[in-house]
Amino acid sequence: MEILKSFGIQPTLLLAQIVNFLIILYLLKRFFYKPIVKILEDRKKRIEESLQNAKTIEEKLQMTEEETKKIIEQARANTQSLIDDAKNEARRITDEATSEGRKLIEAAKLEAKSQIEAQRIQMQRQLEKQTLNLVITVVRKILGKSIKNTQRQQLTAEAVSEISRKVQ
Amino acid sequence: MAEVHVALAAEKLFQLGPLPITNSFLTTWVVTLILIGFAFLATKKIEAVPKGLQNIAEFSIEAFQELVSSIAGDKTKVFMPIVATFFFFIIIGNYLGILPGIGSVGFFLPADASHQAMQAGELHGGEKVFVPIFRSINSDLNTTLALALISLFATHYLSIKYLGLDGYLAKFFSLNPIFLFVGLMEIVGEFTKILSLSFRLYGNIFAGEVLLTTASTKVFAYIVPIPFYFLEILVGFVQALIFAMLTLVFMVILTQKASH
Repeated sequence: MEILKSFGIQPTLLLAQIVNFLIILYLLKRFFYKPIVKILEDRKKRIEESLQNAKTIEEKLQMTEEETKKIIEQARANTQSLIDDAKNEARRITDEATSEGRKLIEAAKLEAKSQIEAQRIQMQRQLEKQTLNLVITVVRKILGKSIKNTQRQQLTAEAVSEISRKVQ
Repeated sequence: MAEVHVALAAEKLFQLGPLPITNSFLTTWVVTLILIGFAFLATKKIEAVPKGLQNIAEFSIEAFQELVSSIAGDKTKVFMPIVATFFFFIIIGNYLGILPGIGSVGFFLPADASHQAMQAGELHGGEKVFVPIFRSINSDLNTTLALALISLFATHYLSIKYLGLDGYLAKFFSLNPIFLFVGLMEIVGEFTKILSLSFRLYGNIFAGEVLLTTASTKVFAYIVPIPFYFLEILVGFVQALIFAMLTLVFMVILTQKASH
């Protein structure tokens, strides 16, 4: 025990040191490690949650993007079919209009033709009538004095009948 | 001439009831105040976003948690506070001992008043010896022995707690003569742990004190001691870590089920 004495070992001091350290240990454990460890664990949990959330959000975003792409694709297809339909419709309408126009023109042409024909006939008749009157007048004038009444009547009747036959 | 030298034992400053207050014990109180003060300030206002002292506290505790859990696994929650407290207590004590003023500020007392420091034949009655007010806590065997005892008792307590009394006894006693012999060796080993833990820490820190005192008083007080201070910073950290890690390893070994 001589060696312990020379190192200054004293039971009271030793005990005091032990008690002192145990007090430190208790205080640190209760008021230092516990709250710090707790907040470290809380933070870890929160970070894990956040990461999980971020992952979910990314997945959702990807899904949305895919959906958007699908929708755009669909819209494009729809538009294409609409355009095609419209083109077809337009072509059909043009065709219809063209054929109708052609028909109309044809009909108008026919009508015009018949009208012209009728006019021509009318004019011809008028012309014949006028020519006849002219001839009658000229004949009257030439023959009026020289021909006897009876002769004249006969001639006139003959002429009239002939002309009227011709005219008809 | 009264020369400044480092006594093997801590010097007594005054008596407090039955308790002799030595300079190293006084320093222990300072260390205690620093530790508790730091813990109080660091956890006074705990926030989710750490700043200031809380950052330091979180960093050190997290480092210890990782270190302990890499060895102790699911017993981390129980082991970590003990191991970390050993580390913090020892390293604060060691670094406090390096500070200027510790071990060099003091007064001269008559040799008989500080009889603990007196080594036979070295001092004569009436001669005055230098007594520093503060002394590095781990250069007092009382402190390191106390730490070693706590370490050992905590280890055995945890062993009983985890294995039960029969599991604990089975580690040391066996009907198989070979294992019985090994068990007896282990009992001797347990006592050796006290000596090795306490004297390793005491020896290193005391030697450092002597080295620094010698370098700065007997050799040359300027520039020359600086490398030794760096050395002491390293030693202070390493010794604290060694004590904590050995305690941890002892705990892990003793709380594992006997393989035989």
